[in-house]
Amino acid sequence: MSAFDKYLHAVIVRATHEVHEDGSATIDAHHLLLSLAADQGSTAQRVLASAGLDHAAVREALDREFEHSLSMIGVSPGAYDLPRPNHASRQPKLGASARLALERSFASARKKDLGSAHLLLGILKAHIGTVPRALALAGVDQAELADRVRQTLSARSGAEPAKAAGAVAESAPDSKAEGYEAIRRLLQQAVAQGGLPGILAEVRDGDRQWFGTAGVADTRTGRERSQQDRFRIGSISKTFVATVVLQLAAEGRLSLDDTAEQWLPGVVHGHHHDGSSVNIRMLLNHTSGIFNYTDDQEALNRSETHTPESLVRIAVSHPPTLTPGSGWAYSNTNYVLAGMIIERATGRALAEEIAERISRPLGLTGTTCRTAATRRSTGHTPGTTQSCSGPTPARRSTTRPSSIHPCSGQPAA
Amino acid sequence: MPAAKNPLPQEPADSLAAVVALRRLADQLEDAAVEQAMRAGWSWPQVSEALGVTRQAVHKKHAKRLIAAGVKLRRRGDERV
Repeated sequence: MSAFDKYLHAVIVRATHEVHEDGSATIDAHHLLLSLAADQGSTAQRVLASAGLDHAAVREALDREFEHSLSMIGVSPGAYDLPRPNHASRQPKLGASARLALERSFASARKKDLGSAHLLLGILKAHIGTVPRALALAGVDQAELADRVRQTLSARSGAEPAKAAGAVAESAPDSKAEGYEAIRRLLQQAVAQGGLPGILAEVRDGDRQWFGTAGVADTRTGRERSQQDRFRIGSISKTFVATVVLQLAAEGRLSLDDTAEQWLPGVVHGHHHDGSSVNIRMLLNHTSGIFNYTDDQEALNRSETHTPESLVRIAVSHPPTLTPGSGWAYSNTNYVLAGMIIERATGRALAEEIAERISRPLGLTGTTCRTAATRRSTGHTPGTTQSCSGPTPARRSTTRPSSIHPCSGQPAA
Repeated sequence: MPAAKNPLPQEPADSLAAVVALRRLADQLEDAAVEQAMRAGWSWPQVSEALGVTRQAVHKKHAKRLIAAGVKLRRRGDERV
């Protein structure tokens, strides 16, 4: 743990006390602000105090904001004489506003240079929310306050003296740790700027295992991502489908030279699509020229659920992208068709074939492939026959219902 | 048709901030209400049904706190949620 990590931990512990004080459910940005204001001797506390914001003044400003905001809709908190609850045993999670403040802090300097002033700056970068409203009500010029923090930082250029010793001791080069830290920052960035609800990454390096997350696994409860969470494996499921097709070819149950028309009569048809000029090999290596259905989001969004057949219909409502076999063009439709051919050739569901031929023999106990039935009942819109999931279930998926799951989704680079 | 209602505040920022403040108020109210109910001898299933949430959720959120506060919780077969 670096010196800054230790410092941050102390800030969050104090913020947790503040959460218990006001009965909130999560640690929010304003709790971090209270925590910094109470950190006697820190740069952040001194800058805040210079603007008249000691801990009590911050708390008062926040209380005013609370009452003011409620009064805007005609609610008076004074109408409830609530006993102060005993929360001491509850460990609140970091809320979105606090996360955002921390991310903004982390983005402002290299980790070894981070200190209390950066945390304050991260909090003050918010233009919307409880903290800006409270400061405005308290008559504090937030921009001016942020400038004051920046001036302090440029004057000091680096870590605060009190923390510097630790920071130097900890900054011994550890390229791996730095690499992980960089990954963590990327994850946080992906959530903060990429619009993802949550993200996870795992690195296995010999015996060492590193795991990082950002955002949440469940947008409703704010539960953090865990190492056990399931996630859609997206286009990786294509490797499963292709493997099953090749096994069937090896067993002589189909040939890679068979045409789509032979296995799925009349399916690849329309707008100059012709199943008799597309063979299975072309499906697997993306040379069929069949239109990629995920390029027509409008059609996909017209329906809550899709079947493989309906996805192919979307594809053949467009002209082919190239003459079959004449070139390469990534198309998810190819693998929807490959999945359909597997089902036709075996007489069984694709999910069963994948489970029996790949997942079970390899002991992939956390990997499942959803059947058409479960797909419909859960209201997801993956729409292809090859939507598999990685380890363990993430119920109440964080994806928005209208989005298209990338089961055979985005081009894998 | 209901009669005249409170209009939303003119500024979206005020309306949204009111939502945030109401959530906090609701959290405070929930803490007090659950404690009141448990002190009055309600069971977890009853409280969760009244709140419209799962037993697991209400237990996870409040059990530790109430035990720490010395509230006697009803022991039942279904107490382990």
